[in-house]
Amino acid sequence: MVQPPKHNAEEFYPDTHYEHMARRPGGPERDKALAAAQRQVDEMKMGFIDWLDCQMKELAGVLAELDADPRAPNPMEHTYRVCGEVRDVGTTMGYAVVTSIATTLCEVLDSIKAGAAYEKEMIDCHINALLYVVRAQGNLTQEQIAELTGGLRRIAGIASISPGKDDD
Amino acid sequence: MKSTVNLRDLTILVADPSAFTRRVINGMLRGFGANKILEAEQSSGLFQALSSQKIGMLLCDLQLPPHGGLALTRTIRGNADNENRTLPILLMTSNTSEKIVKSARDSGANMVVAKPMSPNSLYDRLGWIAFHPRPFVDTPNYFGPDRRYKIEGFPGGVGRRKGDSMVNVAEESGPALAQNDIDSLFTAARAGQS
Repeated sequence: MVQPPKHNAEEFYPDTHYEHMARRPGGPERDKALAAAQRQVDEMKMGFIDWLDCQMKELAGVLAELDADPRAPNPMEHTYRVCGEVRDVGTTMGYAVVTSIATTLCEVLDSIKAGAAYEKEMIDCHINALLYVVRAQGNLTQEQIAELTGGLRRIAGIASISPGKDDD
Repeated sequence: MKSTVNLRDLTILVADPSAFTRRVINGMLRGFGANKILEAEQSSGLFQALSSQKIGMLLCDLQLPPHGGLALTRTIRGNADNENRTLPILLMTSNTSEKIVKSARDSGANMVVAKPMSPNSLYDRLGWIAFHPRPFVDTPNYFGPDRRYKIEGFPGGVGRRKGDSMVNVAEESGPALAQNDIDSLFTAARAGQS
């Protein structure tokens, strides 16, 4: 007779070093800890536009490679990595619009990686939008931001349903 | 009195491919009172740090090169001889689709925090791991924090474990989850537990 397999699931609390240390009394109160962390973030905000400017220069270089061969994996991954870095910190640095633009650019790149046609204009308009934000030092009105991000979102939507060259 | 999180003298490893992101997280942690923060930009540096000193908490990006945070978490959890096997792992990702978050949970991560992060979102998750730890489960197919959430049992009333009653599985939802939705996938909420 075949015996059913045994499933010896063991459950336990690991009682980690982290729990011991983090639970010690003497930590800063939540409000003070958050305020101190926000101060650290605020100090970095001053250098964010300069950092973003450097990322844009890096993007310009790698996009030239991508234009030459849109299906080459290295330039695509490099472009995606830089866009992802911008996306991941924009809102933290107080520039939600930067995260929004970089997010839709990543979506366009995702579509291309998935086989959609490479349309240089779709990428260029995102780059121009980021450059516009850098030049404006983030001083955009709510209406401008809504128009900008809404337009780019529509472009990302088009990219997601754009057939690849092989499908033409 | 509200609980406070004391990170002083606790070694925290921040693994993220972006130097700027590491700097931002480092700043937040220092604001919280941490004074021992290590950084790694890829898996090799991470494992080097894990093997050379006692790490208390790992904050790891889901896209950490070369193999990503999911594979890395599975590796840490999967090695029975590894003293860091129960290390708290907080995965960070900008892709918060339900599929990705569930994959992170199933890899053995303690929590997922959405990028871009705020001090608030990071602090609360660090506090959650410290004060509301989930039990670990050791099975032939999985080792890590209990993945069951909102579980009061399973379909047809057949419990997989003693004490389970009816299941309440989350509906498939939109492409990106808000941080609260992510948290709910990591909340062990079996009957009798909060």
